[in-house]
Amino acid sequence: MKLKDRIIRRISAFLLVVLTLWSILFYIAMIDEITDEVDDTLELYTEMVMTRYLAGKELPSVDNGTNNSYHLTEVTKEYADTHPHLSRTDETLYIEAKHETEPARVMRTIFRGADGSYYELTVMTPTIEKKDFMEAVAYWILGLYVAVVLAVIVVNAWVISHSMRPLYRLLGWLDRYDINEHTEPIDNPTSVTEFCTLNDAINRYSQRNQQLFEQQKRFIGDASHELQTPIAICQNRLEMLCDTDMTEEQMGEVIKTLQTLEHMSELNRSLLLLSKIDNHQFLDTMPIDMAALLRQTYSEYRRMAIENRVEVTLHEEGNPTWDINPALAKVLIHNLYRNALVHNVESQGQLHIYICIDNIVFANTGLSQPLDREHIFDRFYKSSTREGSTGLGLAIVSAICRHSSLDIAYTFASGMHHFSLKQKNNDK
Amino acid sequence: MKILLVEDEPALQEVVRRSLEKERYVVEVADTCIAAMRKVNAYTYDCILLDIMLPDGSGLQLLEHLKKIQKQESVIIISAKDSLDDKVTGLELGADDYLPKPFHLAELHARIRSVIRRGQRGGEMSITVGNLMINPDKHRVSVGEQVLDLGRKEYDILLYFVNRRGHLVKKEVLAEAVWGDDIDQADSFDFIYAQLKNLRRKLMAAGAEVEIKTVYGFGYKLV
Repeated sequence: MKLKDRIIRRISAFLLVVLTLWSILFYIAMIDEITDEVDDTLELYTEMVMTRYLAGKELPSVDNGTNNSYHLTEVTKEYADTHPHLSRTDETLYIEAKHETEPARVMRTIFRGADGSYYELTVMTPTIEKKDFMEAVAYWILGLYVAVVLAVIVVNAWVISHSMRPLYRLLGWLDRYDINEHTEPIDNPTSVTEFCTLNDAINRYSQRNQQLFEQQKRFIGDASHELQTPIAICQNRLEMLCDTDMTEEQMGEVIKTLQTLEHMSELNRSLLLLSKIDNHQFLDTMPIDMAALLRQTYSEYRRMAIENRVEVTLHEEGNPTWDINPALAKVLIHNLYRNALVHNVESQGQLHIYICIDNIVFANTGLSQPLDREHIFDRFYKSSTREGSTGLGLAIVSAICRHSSLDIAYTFASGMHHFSLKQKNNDK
Repeated sequence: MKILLVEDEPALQEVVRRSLEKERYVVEVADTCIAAMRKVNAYTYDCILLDIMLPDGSGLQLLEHLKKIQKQESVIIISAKDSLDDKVTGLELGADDYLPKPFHLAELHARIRSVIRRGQRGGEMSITVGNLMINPDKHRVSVGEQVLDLGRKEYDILLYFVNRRGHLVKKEVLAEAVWGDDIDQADSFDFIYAQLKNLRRKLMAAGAEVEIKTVYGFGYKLV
């Protein structure tokens, strides 16, 4: 969810609660105030009628043009004793003049006349319809709510797009950041302290990361390079030993040591290659006819396919030409080929290579369960311990892809492991 | 035969020198570019083994120097820098071969033999071991007067062994050399057995003085 949406959502929810509460309180307060006013009028009127009656003056006519009406009745003493002398109630009255019922405020007063008998004076005035009032308040509050939310959205959009601009620039920069490439430090001028701090922190950490990464790359490269000579010396000494007279047991040990050394040297060479790819030492690219390269590799690996009992089928459906460094293209295809042949089943293995217009797929039999897609292209990831496997083949493949704007994807479908190569879409 | 070994790593220098001396070469060593230049100015060698990375510069400088003083020495570059660029530059500057470290001594000897043969007699020369004679140009093998009829792979194997006579050749290495790089993953060497069996039978039938011996199941040796 975007920051903008979240802010708007929260504010809207908050406003909904606040305005609802406010409208209830507003309603209660208004009704209270109105009732109070009406009661005051009724009181005055009651007083006026009562005074006139007691003074024996002429009473106002019942229908006197105002909305106030009254009637005066004589009541028994019992009635007077059992009823409160002053009561205010809300009632619905039938107004004859209007031929309809209306809510009214009614005030009843019981008093004793000069003659000692009890009278009840009922004074009433039509008042506002509470339901109508409630509706009106609800409508207006709803209107206010919509208006405020709209305002919030507009203001938010404006504020976020303006004051959050450095944040979005920062996010864009982070998105483009690639530790393999040299990325310029972020240029994000802002006067906001928080963003300044964030800029500084990001610049510092990215530079530190980059340095560490470079150092590590160089270290791997140097280490494997420096190891080549000692390995060569060990190997040659042991070879000289082999040319002397030795027992079978001694010879066996020496030769096994030689094999281990060879594996080490192979590892070393792969690491060197990896660090060279990562250090961009293969720069020049040229259009490579991938189908031709695959056909050539196919014939080179025929022997090995037969030895590993794998049936290789080339399906040529297109003729892709990719811009890639020729040496890397060769290593790429060789590694995929070798991977598919080595990590295959014991017998009756299959390898299908599909050459399409925009992708190349290696599909091979092998382990019956899918490999770990997350880690398969990691260095030294090994799903099975195969002799002669350095665990670097696919890491090299992925490094070459990264370097040559190719995409490599692994999928497992119908018992086959699929490695699909495709050119990255550069024309965005 | 005189060989100049230009190598700065003392241990490697020692082991290569000893191994070459066992093959009855006369070996001189130089551990810097300058020392090597002085030596080539003063003497003539049949072959120069040249390391690229030297303390006082690149071995490629020596190649340029050789070109300048118009010496026709055969040069084999031995380098830990397994890079294509070095290989191409080296070969362009007149090196005869390129051997990346680490290398097998047997391989080094074979390369030395091959460049010396090429350098001395324009590569026209046939190889003789005992009564076995191989003419690499014509792909012809004969024992005494008798010409052997060998298959292509059998011929390749024999040539490979003859160039590495006296050294143990591992099965994997042989397979790799004769069938290309991809073979080292192969888990069955039946095809080598079959070809070797034929080759041995033919050599024996012709009465050759050489024999390809199996060394305890690890590899073979031509004696």
